[in-house]
Amino acid sequence: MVLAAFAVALIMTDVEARDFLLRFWLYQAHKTIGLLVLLACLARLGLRLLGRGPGPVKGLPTSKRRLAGLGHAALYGLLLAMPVLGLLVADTAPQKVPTLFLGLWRLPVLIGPDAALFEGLSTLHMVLAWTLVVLALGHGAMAIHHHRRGLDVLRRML
Amino acid sequence: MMTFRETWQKFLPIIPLAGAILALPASDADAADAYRIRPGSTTIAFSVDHLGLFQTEGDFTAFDGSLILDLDDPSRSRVDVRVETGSVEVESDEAMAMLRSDDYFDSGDFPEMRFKADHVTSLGDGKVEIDGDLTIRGVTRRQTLQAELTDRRFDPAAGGEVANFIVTGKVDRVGFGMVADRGFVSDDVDLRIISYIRLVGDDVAAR
Repeated sequence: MVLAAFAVALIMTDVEARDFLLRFWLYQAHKTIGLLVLLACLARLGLRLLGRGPGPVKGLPTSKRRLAGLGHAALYGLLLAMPVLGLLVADTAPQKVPTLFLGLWRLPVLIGPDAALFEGLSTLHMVLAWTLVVLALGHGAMAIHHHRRGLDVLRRML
Repeated sequence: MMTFRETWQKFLPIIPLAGAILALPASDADAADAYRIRPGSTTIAFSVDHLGLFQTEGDFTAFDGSLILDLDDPSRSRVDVRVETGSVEVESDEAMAMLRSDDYFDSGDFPEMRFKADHVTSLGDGKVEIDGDLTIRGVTRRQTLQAELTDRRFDPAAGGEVANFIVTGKVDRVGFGMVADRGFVSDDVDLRIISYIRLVGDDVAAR
């Protein structure tokens, strides 16, 4: 979902400026995926807090386990922060384009147009987007790395 | 001896005054009062709809015109306003450039649009219907607008009775050849013009 949102973002900001209709629906798709990421991430965190999450990987030294924990915390942080930031970017944008979750439900306006906030939030949203993609790819790469070394990580992720 | 520049500067302030005098109604025997329609006391705003989901609002910042208001006999009232199409303003710079382009106002070829009313009908209850010629992009079409005088009150700061002259109406942009982006920008453009005026009595004066 993160990669899908990222891909749509790359397309929607590059689409022919005058193709308003296409641009509008690409932005809506991006926003809906982002909100789904937020919901999925909250659900996952909820399960973790209830103790239903995956336990520590067997056969991994404590130092590496701690490092993995740090990486996962960063991933969760970004997964939560990105959709919230994205919502605020849309909220403070000069053009009052509504956010339609799944193309149907209109989200309420929280702050309203604010040029300075919009600029700052957009930049942050973009920088963190790249960070999240790099981290997610690293997360996947580490899973494959451990899998090759015989640890039961990749299988339980899928 | 005064240089040309000094002479020019000296007489410059007289020009708007002369303009104001010329804007007075020809016949001042009746109760018609003339007002200048210009930025500062008037806003000319519009909005278009997108997919029935949201609207884009904008306004014009450069225009000049006259309003002759006859409260006793509304049918004798007149409006004539010229608007600089290049002065159109919306939130996004991108949209602003687009509105000035050939697809919309084509400000390069048609720097001005104009509404000249020749027929005012009273609808009662302080409301009137204004019919006139609206010219946009060189195309002139008949246009009907609704107007009313609201919030009549005594304003100590203005030293007299003031009111808002509010004009609303729908303009069909397609009729003027503005056919771009019909899938996303509504044909109908909602107009809302608000003019703050200081009502004058029988003594005719330009505001």
